[in-house]
Amino acid sequence: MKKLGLLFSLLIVASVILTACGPKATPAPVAAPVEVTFWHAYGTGSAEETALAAILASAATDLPNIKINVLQVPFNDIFTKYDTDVAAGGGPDMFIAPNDNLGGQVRTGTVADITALADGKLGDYSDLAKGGMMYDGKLYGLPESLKAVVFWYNKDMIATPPATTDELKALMEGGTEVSITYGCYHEYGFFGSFGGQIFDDQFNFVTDAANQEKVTAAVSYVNDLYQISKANSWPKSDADGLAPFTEGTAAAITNGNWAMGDYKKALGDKLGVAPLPAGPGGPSNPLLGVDGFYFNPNSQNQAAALEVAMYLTNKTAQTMMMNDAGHVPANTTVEVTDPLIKGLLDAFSTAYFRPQVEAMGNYWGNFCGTDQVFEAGTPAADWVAAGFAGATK
Amino acid sequence: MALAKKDAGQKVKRNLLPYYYLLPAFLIMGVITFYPLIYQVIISFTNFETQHLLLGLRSPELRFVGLKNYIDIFTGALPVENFNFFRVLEFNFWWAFSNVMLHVPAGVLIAVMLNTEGLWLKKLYRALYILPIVVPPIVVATVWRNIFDEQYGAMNQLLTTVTALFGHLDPVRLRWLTEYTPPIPGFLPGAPLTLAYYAMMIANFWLGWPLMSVIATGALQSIPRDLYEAASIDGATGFQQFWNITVPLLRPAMVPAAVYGFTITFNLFGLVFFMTGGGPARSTEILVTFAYNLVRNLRWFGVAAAFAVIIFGVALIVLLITNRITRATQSYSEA
Amino acid sequence: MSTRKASQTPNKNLLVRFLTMNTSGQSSGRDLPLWRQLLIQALCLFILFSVMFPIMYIVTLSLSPKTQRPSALELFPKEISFIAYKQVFDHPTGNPVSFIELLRNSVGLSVSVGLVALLVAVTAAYAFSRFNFKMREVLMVLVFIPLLMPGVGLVTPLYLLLNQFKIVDCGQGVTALTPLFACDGGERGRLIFNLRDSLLGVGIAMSAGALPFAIWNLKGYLDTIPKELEEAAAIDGADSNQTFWKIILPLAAPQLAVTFFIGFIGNWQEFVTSWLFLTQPKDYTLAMTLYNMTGQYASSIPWNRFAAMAVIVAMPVAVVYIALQKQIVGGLTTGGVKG
Repeated sequence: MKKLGLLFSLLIVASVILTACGPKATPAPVAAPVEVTFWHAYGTGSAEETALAAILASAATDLPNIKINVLQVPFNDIFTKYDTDVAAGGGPDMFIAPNDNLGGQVRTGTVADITALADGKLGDYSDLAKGGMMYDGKLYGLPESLKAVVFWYNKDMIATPPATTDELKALMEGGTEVSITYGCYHEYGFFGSFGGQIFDDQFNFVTDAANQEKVTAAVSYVNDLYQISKANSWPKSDADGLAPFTEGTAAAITNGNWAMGDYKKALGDKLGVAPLPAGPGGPSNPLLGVDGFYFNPNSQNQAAALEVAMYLTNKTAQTMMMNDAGHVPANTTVEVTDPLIKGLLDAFSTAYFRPQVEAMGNYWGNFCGTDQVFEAGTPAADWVAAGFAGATK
Repeated sequence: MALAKKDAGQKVKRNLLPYYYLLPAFLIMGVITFYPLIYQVIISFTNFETQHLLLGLRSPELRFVGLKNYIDIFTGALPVENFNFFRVLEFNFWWAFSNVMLHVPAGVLIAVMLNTEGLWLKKLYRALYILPIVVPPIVVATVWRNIFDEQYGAMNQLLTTVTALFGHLDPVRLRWLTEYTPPIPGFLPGAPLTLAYYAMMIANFWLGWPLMSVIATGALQSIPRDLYEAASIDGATGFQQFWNITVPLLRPAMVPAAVYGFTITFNLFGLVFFMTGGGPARSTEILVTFAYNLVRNLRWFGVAAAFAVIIFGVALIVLLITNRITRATQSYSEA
Repeated sequence: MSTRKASQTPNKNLLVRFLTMNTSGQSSGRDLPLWRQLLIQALCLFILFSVMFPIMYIVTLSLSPKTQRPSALELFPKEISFIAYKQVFDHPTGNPVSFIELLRNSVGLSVSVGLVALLVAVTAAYAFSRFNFKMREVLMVLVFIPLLMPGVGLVTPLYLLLNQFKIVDCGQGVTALTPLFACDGGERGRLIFNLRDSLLGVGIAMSAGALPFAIWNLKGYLDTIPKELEEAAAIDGADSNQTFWKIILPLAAPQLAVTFFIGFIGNWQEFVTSWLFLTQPKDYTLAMTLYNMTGQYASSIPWNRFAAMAVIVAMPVAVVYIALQKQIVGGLTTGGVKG
């Protein structure tokens, strides 16, 4: 009883003290600043988050009449949280994220059409980047950076990166540990290497036999790589591969350039980048995604939000993001001197623009069960045929 | 006359008194518990999704679809990969059952061992053995996930060391959480148990036996020592004493504990979700993790509501059965 | 005893005598020979190792200066650095919220939900336990039903329900409380307060699950208080109300406290509801922050900070549990499962 009483009183005392220690009331500002709330999904303590914090600190002085509220949401949750909140009538004024779900979000009405709002203000941004923010001819976001999967390697361990798919396979067979990231997103680039297509220009699935053969060839190739990885117990995802690559156990890793900040911090000058290897069908074509700021249709401060977004993507901010976090800038006024960024831009030249059409959902829905081929042993040809059949049902 | 009237008045007051006592709780529960429950049942018959969040039931595009959600769940017509309701249900039951079957005997044995007279450091052991319960579930799951990591996990390293002792020098690289093929083929027909299940069993065992042990310790201390002394005078061995005295006298405490453990494990969201997320191809999915998936990631609120009602039905059946069991053992021990 | 031994086996092996030495420390009662003591000790140490192993792992990880998961197994820290703890205290998440605020929100939420649930539940539990009235069985079942529904099931309707209560500023100094009032002319107004997006709303949502459990648990406790006390009070002329307030409540106070603490532990670790409802960092709780750290781009989980936060979140629970283990376990089994 005594113990209970003691614990109880301790709790009450703690609550009272903490309440008293709460944030002090701030004096009322002279003119009420416009509040802009913005969400992001950069990891805690990552290079991107640190750079963003620095940029926001200077925004406080450069944009005195706007108060910026920032919320970090874990990446696996940001789209869900944003869509749910917006659908329920709330949500932030804007959020920054890859254009993974742009099509879906436009169709459910959770991102605002800013073609009129941003008219004439976006001259500094590359057409490529702006294209990634468009759907059906209308602009839905302000582009920030470009992202795609590339081949990162440790220069001390690999002198020249494999230029063809055969070279990569030989490298792995020879015992050099390479962390390939397997999955329907990271592997997309290999379709181009074998000349296979998923979509044609009108975004219909290309189901003719000749194309299916090439797609099958790509999947078989990746399966071969998977079996080598499995036999050697090498990492098969970007999360597992981070420690080995940065510690020097793995010689290379296939991942997007969002991780460049971490790789560069660990490997410094030893970090090299190359496009995913080309193959019998041509160069690789990884999915090119564009990160951008999207605006909430419920927001009442869209003009102020746009102003903040443009500040966060101006030349200074983009240069900082580029140097510290490895972002390939959408702002064309940025001077690119880093050879790594130049290498990325080269790799992006053959990348495939990530489609926003509804049919893209059918790709995710039918071509992501790669474990069927890798683990369960389904022949690649059958799996590809089933995938196309399911996607065109 | 006046006395009778006063009595009558008091009688009425006494009759209504329980209701006054119940009023605050039921008033609040009516708003925050019963209303959402009924709402949930209603939307389980509709095609409620994200776009209906703003206006709720007043949405113009909301349609009643009757039992479609329920039928879709039972027949596996939901557009999600690898989902088979009955397989998930069977796995869920087996998961809870096998865990309890493991935890209760282990907890009892360890409690009996700790109860040995004259054991040194007893208090220290008892205090430390309870630590698994205090660690937040998400942390437990994450740590065990690291332990079962294919390349750097402690479990594989331990196995490598052990097998090295027997001369097998290749490093052990079991793919605990990602291996598709069940190690014991055909075990649990209808719901093949992958390595991830065994990994979760080990993790949950770490988490589960301390509670059983604490309950058993409490019950052990109420068993009079004279019984043991009488038995040893009669020449009973330690094992016989355990089986004939300890076990029957522990039963009234351990059966409710087992039932409690079954219920908790049946709905063990934290460990399952954060350790395997449903496992390779949903082989370790349990009902509550799938329900969470429906609500959070897929956002098919109508289907999720139907699923919640189904889980409720399952829980009700489980409750009725376990109540029967508890009552049966209680009356047995009283008899 | 010893003389008999000496006369029967005068030169018994010293080692055997040593190993069979009684270590139970009691003159009467059962013997515990040294070899058995050592055997049991070995077993206990092995069990202790298996229990402490993940805990040591977490503690070591929290003392590591690197954010990445170490590729080799480390149970004891190679280098002790408190940088993770410092980072947790200074800047727990990527959000502008300080550790003290998080702690305050966690404590406030857990304590208030626990208290409210307790106070509201105690009268209902008493009614179920003591009175016999017409609808007793039906109402008891009604209270029981929410416990069977998974928490996930209640979340969506609660979200919608709480989302409707907003305070908006219609401009010109007029504020409106929807859904009771609305701004003139269908104006949306500037949102000042959304019940769903506040700790108050989360507290209400958490009480939805906490209340039935508290009623259930307390009823079990109150059942164990002997009825003779009330009969004696009735003979002395006290009516039901006085019996309840002056006799039963003080007697049940320790059990009330235990129910409170069980609820407290549950609320302290709860993050699902708060995660779904809240969007303002100033309202965040410690448990949410823990979850926040795991859902990132998987490669950027700051492991040492995660471990440090885990240790901090586990501390209060550990303290409460160790201090009150007997009562808590008794509470869970008595109050709980008899139904």
